[in-house]
Amino acid sequence: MNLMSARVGKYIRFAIAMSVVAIMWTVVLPWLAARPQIAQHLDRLEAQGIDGGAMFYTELDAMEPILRRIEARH
Amino acid sequence: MASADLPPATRPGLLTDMRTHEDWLAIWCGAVLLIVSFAAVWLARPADLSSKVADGEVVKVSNPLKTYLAKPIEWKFNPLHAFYKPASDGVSAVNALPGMLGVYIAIAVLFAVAIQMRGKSGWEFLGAYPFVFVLAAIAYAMSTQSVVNAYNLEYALWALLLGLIISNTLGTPEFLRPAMLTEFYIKTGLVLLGAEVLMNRLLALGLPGVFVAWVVTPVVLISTYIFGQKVLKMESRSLNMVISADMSVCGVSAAIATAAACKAKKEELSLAIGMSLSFTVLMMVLMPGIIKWVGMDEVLGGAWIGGTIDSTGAVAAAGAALGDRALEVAATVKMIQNILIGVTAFCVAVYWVTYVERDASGSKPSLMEIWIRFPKFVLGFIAASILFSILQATLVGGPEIIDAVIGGSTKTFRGWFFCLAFVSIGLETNFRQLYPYLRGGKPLVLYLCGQALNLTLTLFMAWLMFKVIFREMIEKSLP
Repeated sequence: MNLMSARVGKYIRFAIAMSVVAIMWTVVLPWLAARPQIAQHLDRLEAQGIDGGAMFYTELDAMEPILRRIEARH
Repeated sequence: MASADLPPATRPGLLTDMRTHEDWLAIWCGAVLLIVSFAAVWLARPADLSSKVADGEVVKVSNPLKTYLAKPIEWKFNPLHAFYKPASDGVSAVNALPGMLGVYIAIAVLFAVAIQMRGKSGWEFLGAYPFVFVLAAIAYAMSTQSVVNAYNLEYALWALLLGLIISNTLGTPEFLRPAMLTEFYIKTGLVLLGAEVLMNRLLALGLPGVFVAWVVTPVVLISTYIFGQKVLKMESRSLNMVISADMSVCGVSAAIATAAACKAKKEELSLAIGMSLSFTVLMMVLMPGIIKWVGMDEVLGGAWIGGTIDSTGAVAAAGAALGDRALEVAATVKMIQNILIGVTAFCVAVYWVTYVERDASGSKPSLMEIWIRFPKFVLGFIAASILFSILQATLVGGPEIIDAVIGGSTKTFRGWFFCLAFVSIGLETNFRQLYPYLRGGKPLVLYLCGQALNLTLTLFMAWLMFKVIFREMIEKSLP
C-alpha cells in the first residue's frame, strides 16, 4: 500500500511541477509579452538586434554594426 | 580511475589516450565540426571575394550548412512558434524543425562513433539520446520566449529545471544514462567556443577597453578567490573558483569553461550559474536606472555596465537603455572580456594541476605529472582560438569567412551541446545534493563581496581610462 501511494505521489508531484511550467509558458509569459510597456521594450530590443539571452558576443546581432563602425574609425 | 591516478607502468600511452580519452575525443569531435563548417564556407565563398575585398566593398559570405542547422525560434504567444512560425505581416514563415533534425543527426552520429571509440556502446547512446535531445529542445524553446529571453534567463536555467523536475519527482530512468554525458557535451561545446574567441578583437576599444576588461577582471577574480579561501574559508576550492570566474569574467560561459578546467562538481556549476543569472537580471534592471539617476556620463556608464554585468545579452540590453554610445561601449567591453575566457580557463587548469592537485607532501609536480593531469580539452579550446584568430586576420575576406563559419553552424552546435549538458546535469542532480553548498550562505556572501569589489574597481578604472587619461581620444571616436 505504501509503495503504491509513493508511486502515485511521485506522479502527482511530476504533474504539478509540469502544470506550473505549462501555465507559466502558455498563459503568464504570453500575457506579460502583450503588456504595452513590455511589448514596447521587446520591440525596441528586436529593432536594435539585441538578443537579451546571448551568452557570448557572437550571439549578438547588434555587435556586427558596432564592429563595422569601430573598424571604419581605425 | 583517471589515467593520472594510475601507477606510471599501467598508464595508457599517449596514442591510446588520444584515441580513447574523453578530453581528446571532445577535441576530435569539435575539430570535425570546425573543419566541416570551414570547408563548406570556403568552397561556397563568392568567386570575386578577393576583388570585392580589395575594392573595399561590403561582402556577404554565406554558410551552406546554415539551412540544415537550427535552434528554436524566438516566440511571444504560442510555444509552437518556437519550432514553426507561420508567415505574418509580410515576413515569410520560418521552420526550425529541419535544422533541429540536422543538429540531432550530426550529434547522434558523431557521439555514437566517439563513444564506441571509448570502448562503450554507441548503440546504447543512440537509444537514450532522442529523449535527452527532446528535453533539450523543450528547454531551448522555453528560453526563446521573448520575455524570458529579454531578461537573460538563458537555456541553461530551463534545461536544469526540466532535468531537476524529472530526477526529483519520477526519478531519472536508467535507460537515459548512456546519453547523460555532461562533461563530454561541455568539453566539445568548449572546443567549438574556442573558435569564437578571436584575439584580434581584443584591441577594438584600444587601451581603455583593455584596462577595464583585462586588468580589472583578473584582479577581481583573484581577489575574490583569495577572499573565499582565506576569509570565508569555503569548503570547496572549485566552487569558489567557478563563482569568482562567472562573476568577474562573463557569466555562464565563463562558469562552464572554469568548471571544466578545475573539474568542479556539476552541483557547483548549477549553483554558480543560478546565482549569476539571478544577479544578472537584477543588475540589468537596476544599473541603467542608477546611472541615469546620478547623471553619470553615457560612455562611462556603458563601460561600467560592460565590465560588471555578467552576461553578454544583459550587458547589451542594459547599455541600450542608456543610449547608442553606451550600447557600443558596453557591448565592446563585454566582448573584450569574453575573449579573456580562454586565458582564464588555461590559467585555472594550470593552477589546478600544479597547486591544488599536488600530492599530500606538497612537493612540486614534475612536468610529466602536470601534462598527465592537465585537462587536454583546454588545449583544443586554445588551439581553436589561435587558429581561427589567425585565419580571420590573414585570409582575404577573413572576418566575413569566419563570421559565416561561426554564425552559420558552429555557434548553433555549441548552444545545443551546452543545452544537452545542462539537461544531463539536471537529470543527475537530487535537490538534497545542493543543500550542503547553500549551508551558511557562503557562496552568496562570496558573490556579493566579489561583485561589490567588481563594481567599485570597474567604475574607478572606467572613469580613469574613459574620462581622464584617454578622454580626448574617446570624445573623438565616440562623438
